[in-house]
Amino acid sequence: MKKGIRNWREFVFLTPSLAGVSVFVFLPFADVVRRSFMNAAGRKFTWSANYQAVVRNPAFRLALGNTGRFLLVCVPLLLVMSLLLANIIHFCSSGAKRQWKFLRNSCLLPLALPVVSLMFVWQMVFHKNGLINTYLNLSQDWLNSSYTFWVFAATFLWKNMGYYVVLWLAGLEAIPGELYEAAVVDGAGVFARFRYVTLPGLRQMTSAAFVLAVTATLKSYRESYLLAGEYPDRSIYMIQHLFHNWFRDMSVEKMSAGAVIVVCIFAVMVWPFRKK
Amino acid sequence: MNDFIIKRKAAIFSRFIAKKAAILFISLVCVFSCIPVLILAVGSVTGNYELSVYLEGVLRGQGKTYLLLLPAFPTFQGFIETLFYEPEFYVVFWNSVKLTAFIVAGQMFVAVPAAWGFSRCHGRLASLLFYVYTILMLLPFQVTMLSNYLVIDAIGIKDTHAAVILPAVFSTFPVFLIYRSFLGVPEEVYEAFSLESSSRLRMFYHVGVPLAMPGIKAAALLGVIEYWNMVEQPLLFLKTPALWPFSLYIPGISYDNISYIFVCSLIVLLPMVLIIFGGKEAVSEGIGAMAVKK
Repeated sequence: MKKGIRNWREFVFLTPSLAGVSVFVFLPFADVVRRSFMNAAGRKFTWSANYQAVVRNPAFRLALGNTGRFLLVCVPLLLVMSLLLANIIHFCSSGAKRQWKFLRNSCLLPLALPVVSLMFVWQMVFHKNGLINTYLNLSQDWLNSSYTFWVFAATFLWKNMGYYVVLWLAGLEAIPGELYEAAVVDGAGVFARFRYVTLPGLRQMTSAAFVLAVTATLKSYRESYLLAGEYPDRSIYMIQHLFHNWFRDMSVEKMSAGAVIVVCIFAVMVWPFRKK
Repeated sequence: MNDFIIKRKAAIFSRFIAKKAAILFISLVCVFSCIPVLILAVGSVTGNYELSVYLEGVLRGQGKTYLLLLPAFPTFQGFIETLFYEPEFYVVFWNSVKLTAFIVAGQMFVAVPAAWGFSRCHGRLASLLFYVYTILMLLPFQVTMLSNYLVIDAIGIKDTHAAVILPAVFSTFPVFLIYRSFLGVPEEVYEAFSLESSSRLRMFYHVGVPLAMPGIKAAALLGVIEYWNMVEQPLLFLKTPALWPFSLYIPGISYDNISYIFVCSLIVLLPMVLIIFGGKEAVSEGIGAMAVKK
């Protein structure tokens, strides 16, 4: 592979990162794979018993289902809403660029609020006797019922909307204006312009935004842990909760098998997004 | 002709509506973003007794909760207590600062060369590695938690700050972000430089890094925000409370001293707000650097 030999010098730059990742991730993960085939004490080979136990575990199924549901709801909503917003801002901000700029910059504020501070305020707002229930005279337990899913989804959207609006705006600015002018000359209306000029121009951005959005969605476990504890409502019990509780109980064999299964699922999910 | 005028008017009108709706929506988001800050700010100058009256619903599990806008008896007691009398908050605050600073600095040293390497290597091995890195980036911490724990135990750094700092330094997330901004540097610049010097290191340091600086700054800022809020890793790897960052300390404060919680929450919020408003240009530019102009 001539290319490989020629590029070995570039490869050197990867070594610090590669070394660290190998020590902290690859090598121990090999050990985890080994443990997934053994029993809890790590002495006896039990082959696929752990995998069967995990796959049949109702908590695992619930967690996978909830995580999938959360992803399927939050990621498209986030990407679509922020894209629409960015579109409107980009095309309708003919004059008065400064006020748009201020709004654009303050969009990033929710992202900066520390989670602990935010969750403390959220406790006050969404508690059974909190602000919302008091002022609207309801008695809904927002944090411990099936509404919990939507509370967390809304929190996630609010927090991350600003970042993705800025992202899409940058992508939109990269599309040359001449393409739009040419499309208008050809008689394209608003939706046609969006479909044939904007969307293709954003294709690269979309794959990066998608990966980032999935990462952000999975990170929102932090909020649900701080707000609802280790055993939240059924609708929001995700794989992070499950693994956290397995770790606390030191169920090593279940964690190993579960980790391998989840990594395989992610490997399949990410396959279309690899560098070409 | 009339038809055309009507269509034009409809188009202009709907644009007008869309624009106003967008302004309204974003303004709402901004207002909602400022409300938590306001609540915390107001609460931190309110005395314990008044807070326990207003927040009775939350604190005692019954009754109602009201929004406090103007305290009847404002007091700086909470601030004085936090800043001068309680050593615990001082310790956890500077723990957080130390952890965040070391992690982000380490990430820059490790991830920037790696991102450059990925943007320059086009072999199959590099693609495979990048694929693996992307998977690692997406995986929730909990999935690799066990492997992390095994290594930390084996190396013997359990229950020290290094147990939290080292795995985070080698996170693959900044590699992804900075890689995208390195992609935006045109190949011609590298070719021009290689006419002058064949040192890869020089090319990286004098050409690559300055050109990708917006993306690097954005990745650093995002890293600061992320690790300032870190909860899971310290929760699992740090057993000694003296080593905890504030994100583990504050949720544990009992509701007896409610104004203390308000003050602490506000104080840890301030650096983040300062960073966002001071570095908003860098962040917007850096996020924009991910829009590759190819």
